[in-house]
Amino acid sequence: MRGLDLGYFIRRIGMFLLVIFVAASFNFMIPRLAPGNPIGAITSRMSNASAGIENGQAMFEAYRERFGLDDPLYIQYTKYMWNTLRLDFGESLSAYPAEVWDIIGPAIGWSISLIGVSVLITFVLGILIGALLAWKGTPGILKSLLSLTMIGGVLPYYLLAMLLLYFFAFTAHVLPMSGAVESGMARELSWPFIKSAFRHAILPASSIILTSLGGWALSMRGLMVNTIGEDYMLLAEAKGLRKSRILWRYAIRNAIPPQLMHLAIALGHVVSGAILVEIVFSYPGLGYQLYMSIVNSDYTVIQGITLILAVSVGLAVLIIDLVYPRLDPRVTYVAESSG
Amino acid sequence: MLSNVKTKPVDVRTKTRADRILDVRNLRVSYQTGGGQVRAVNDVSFFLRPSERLGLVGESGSGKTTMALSLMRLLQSPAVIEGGQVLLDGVDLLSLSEEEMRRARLADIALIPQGAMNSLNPMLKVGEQLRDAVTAHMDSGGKTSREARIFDVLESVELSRNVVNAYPHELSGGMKQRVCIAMGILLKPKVIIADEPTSALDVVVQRQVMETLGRVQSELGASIILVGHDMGLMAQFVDRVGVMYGGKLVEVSPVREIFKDPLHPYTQLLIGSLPTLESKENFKGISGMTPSLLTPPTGCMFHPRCPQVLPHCQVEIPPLVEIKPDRWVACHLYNGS
Repeated sequence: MRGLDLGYFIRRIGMFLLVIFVAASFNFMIPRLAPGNPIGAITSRMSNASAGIENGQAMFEAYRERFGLDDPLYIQYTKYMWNTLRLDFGESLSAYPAEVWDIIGPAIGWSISLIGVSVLITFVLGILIGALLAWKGTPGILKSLLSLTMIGGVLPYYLLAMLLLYFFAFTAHVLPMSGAVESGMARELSWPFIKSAFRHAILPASSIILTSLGGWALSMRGLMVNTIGEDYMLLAEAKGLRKSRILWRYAIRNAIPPQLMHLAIALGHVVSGAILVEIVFSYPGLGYQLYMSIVNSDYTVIQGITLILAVSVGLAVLIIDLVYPRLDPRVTYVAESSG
Repeated sequence: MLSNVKTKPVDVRTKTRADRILDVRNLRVSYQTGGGQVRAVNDVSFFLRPSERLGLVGESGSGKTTMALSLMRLLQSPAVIEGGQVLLDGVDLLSLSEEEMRRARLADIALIPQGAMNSLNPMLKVGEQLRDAVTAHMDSGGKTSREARIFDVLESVELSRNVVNAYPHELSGGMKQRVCIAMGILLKPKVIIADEPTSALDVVVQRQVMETLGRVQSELGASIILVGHDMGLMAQFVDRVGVMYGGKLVEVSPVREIFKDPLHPYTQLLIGSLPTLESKENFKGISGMTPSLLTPPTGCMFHPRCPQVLPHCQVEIPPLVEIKPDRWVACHLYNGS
């Protein structure tokens, strides 16, 4: 690929793997540094719930053994890393014997389709709005209307989520209150399923889009203003290019690359970015699952989700890094020092 | 005569003279600033003969670039063209519609910017930028002739064909400037405006680039306005020189005569301030400051600094008149002579 040599490619992949390794190690250590004991927490909750259970101590031991918590730390660590390498996060502590993957898997699908799509929509709209706000050819009325999108930016998104929920779902009953599809609906790629999923996604997606649109538009506007001030914009006009051509090919095209870097990071944060929205709408995405597993002290699920978060951020940044020379020809990774 | 230009508007084609490819009449451009109106180009009139090279000199802020850009209607807000005419081959560019003006740019009147720095889009290959320019003026088809023309102009500015595949940052300053020249002559315009085309280049490259510019201009038969402040460069390149001061054209004369016998006191001081090889005297400057265009002096712009100031210089604005054949000056010293 242009501007990319094999050496850099390999170094960059190596860096990615190193980041994942470090993240996984922290992921292993931090729960073990924290006070308290997950098994103890579960068994004590169980005993509270049933007013004392028989063989509580035996059960505690059985759990410990089942999750390998008896082993010395380095063996636990080796096992953990080996399993992580195979993307095997083990069994859920709170929903035993369910596999962590059975919990995370569907949640990933929901998160990507809700938040991933919302972020992409926001990105595209934000770029267009920001570009039009900076463009001197934009009619004044349109500019004023577009500026209204900034209003959403001052609201915290969970607050807007609750407002939307109250008005459109609770009061007006036009849209569903919670969940990702009608409860009990079979998971299949059928038309009613997609329709239901779409209806359920409207409110959470709107609260994400409306609150983050202003920020995207604002930063795009800033980039556009810089681009429009460049000398080559004058020459573009002196060449007799059409306004639309100058806008797209010279101004927007040149302002976008830094925005794409932000997009990579935003997409990487699909998981953590919208926890509160998912909670408000009881949307079974990763954020909601993360919340539930924190409430339940479900360490294996928490570890699985945080690792996925680390991998997705790392991966998104890696991809943008590798394609960046394509986006901005001035950036090359050829024959640069290894630093 | 330019002294009676107050009578207008007239039909754009009636007063056209065949020996003037470009005829600028009473051009006024101002910047609307927070502190008030700044008249950067103040009632400027001049003309350009076919195949002629006109130099436009002046200090920073004298309005030369503003004037050059306003000829192509390239000024951005807050600059406003307040009035005047820019007759290109008899057609008033200032009265064209936006779309007509767009089509006239590059095809009839082209800009060669100071291209060594940022005048080329860093994200697009040189070839794409040249292609863009041609395509904007083509109604349909002609892909092969377009490519042929691009290779033609690159050859005439002494660049290899390979530069079409290069990004601007892969070229040297001189090469980028040549690309800009190639861009300017793509559609064989009648008038080329070169706005300080070599100011970012070192003298060796500057000379080579100017030779190229001169050659392609002669081959094309286009007229050229060279904007700059390098009197040495002007002396070598242009046929006539226009001197701007405070948004006004104070003198327009053939280049030899302006060096030998400058008329306007400002031009005299300007020429006198040039270092020569023979004398080792200290530089002579011009005392005082350039006028603030926000609060311009009354009468002649130059009167506060003028060593030969006359009483009514402070009151009356001297018009630009032809006092000898082809020698135009705006100064009361020559009134009635």
